[in-house]
Amino acid sequence: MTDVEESTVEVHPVSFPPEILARISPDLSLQRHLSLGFRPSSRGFEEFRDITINTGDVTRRIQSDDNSVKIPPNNGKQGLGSCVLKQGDVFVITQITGGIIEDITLSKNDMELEDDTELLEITKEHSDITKYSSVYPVVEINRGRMGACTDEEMTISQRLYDSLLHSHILTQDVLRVEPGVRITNEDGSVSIIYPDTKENKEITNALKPKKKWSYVLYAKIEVFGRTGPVYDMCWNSLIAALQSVKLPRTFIDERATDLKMTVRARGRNAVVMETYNLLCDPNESTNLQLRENSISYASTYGIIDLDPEADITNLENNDDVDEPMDEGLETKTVLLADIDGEAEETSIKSTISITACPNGRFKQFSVVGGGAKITKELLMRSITLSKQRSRDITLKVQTV
Amino acid sequence: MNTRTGYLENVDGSCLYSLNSTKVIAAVTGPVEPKARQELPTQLALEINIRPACGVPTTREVNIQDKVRAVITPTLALYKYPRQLCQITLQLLQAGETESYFHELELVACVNSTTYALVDSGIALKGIALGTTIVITEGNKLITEPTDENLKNAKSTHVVVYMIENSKPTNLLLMDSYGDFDQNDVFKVLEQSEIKINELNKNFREYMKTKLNNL
Repeated sequence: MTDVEESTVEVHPVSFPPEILARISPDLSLQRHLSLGFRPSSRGFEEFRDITINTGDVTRRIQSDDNSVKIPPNNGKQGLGSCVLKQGDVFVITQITGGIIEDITLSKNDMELEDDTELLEITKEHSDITKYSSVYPVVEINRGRMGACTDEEMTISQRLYDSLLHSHILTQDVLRVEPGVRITNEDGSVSIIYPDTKENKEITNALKPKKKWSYVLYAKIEVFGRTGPVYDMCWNSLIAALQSVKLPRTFIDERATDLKMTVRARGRNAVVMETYNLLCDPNESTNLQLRENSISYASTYGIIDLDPEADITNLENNDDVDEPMDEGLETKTVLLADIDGEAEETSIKSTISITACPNGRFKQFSVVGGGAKITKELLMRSITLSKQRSRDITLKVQTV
Repeated sequence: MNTRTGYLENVDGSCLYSLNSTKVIAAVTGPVEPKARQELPTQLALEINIRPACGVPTTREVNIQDKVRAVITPTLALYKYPRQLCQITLQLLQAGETESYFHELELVACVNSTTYALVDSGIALKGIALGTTIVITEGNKLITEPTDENLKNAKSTHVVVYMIENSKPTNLLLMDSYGDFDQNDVFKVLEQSEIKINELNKNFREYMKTKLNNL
């Protein structure tokens, strides 16, 4: 008996301060927090982070004397629209830039619709995907090191592109370039005529080049201080930035509207080349027309099973009793809104991401269910929350 | 749907899969020794490569890879193979859809063919993943296994993958929807796809049964 006593070593339970436990065992740390009814960030289960949105600040526009906003003369490649979004500790900066490309793939649709904008109005609600356009986003998540883009950046960029295309927010029609004509009047003064009025339309139509151009938009999205999944922030920032986009107006000099040149290639073939010098107007711009009812905002949710063994209240009650833990303890599944932080990101395997319009329609819906089982009730709850969140963000963007 | 397992000779498991005009070869190698940076101390590492039918892999393929990984990871018995690697390579032969607009048909083909190839390779699984594509038309009709034309004129497109354990769909592994739809549509799609996936599961078991009988 004495032998046993001598060889017995008293084991002190090792305990760690919360922040260290969170690093060594994020899973346990998260479960402990959840059992107390809140999350590591001290938010409630269905509480979102606060969001601040500012649009148009990064865009290079200057304020002129008559208080009208104008694009500076050296524009053209500069930012057309922008958004700075702050959610929790994360900053997302989106800059929209653009270019003009020649439309060489004019489909039959375009030809038919040429003089028939009324017909276009009728077919506007048609879902034919070939009528819609997207922007080309590049997402960069800054982590303080250089190198090739990560899979996450590529996936988010591609998802943004797909979602934008399929949400039918941008039609190819609004990106079409309607060039004006620069005319030298009889008295030698120079003026630019845009096809806005009927009268002007006649003039520009007469001088109109045969070629077609369209704007192409790029989005550079930079994420600073990433603390968790960022797709929803990138999407919200992109949509807010798009609403601030102003496209510069373009014109062609009347002398260049139908210029043809003969080019001799290696002295053999004579090819007739048409050149057009499409110029951007430094003072005139138009707002990008988005389809209002397709504007939507994204939110992310996580689903996790509460581990009864990690429940602090249970631990305290059963301090010395060695009961089987499973008995009488039910596993509860909870929905967490707006996943953030290392613990939540690594431990939560089932996620729902919803892009919803304020009116309750969805534009993108993605569920990944690797962990906790996703029930109909949890789906319903996340749907309700996503609609609320979408309305909140809409208000924030509108007040900017 | 047409499947043929054991299509390639030099890998552990493979499958030639075709559905309408989408065609893909899936190859599974594993468990093998991983590269040092892939090795996980407690579980099986997974490497997925998707090669498009035309051209070189782009962000589009990375996006599909990401989804295939999300679906396949929960089906594998990962802790049975610590410090090992499973390599899955998917070569698309025919996309069957306009690649600049869609990836839905290819994603489903990749998931289903990988499941067949994984079973063929003999790697331990917790369940299998089977998926289907559904589109909702302008007239609110649901079409399962759509064609490219259906996709182009659809109001919304949906990919649904279920985990099958004990020959029943148990857990929703993936739902990936684009377009314009509401919550009723979401539940209608989930319901319809469960029926379809049950059917796919029946085909799967039938196929494996004949295969084992012919051994």
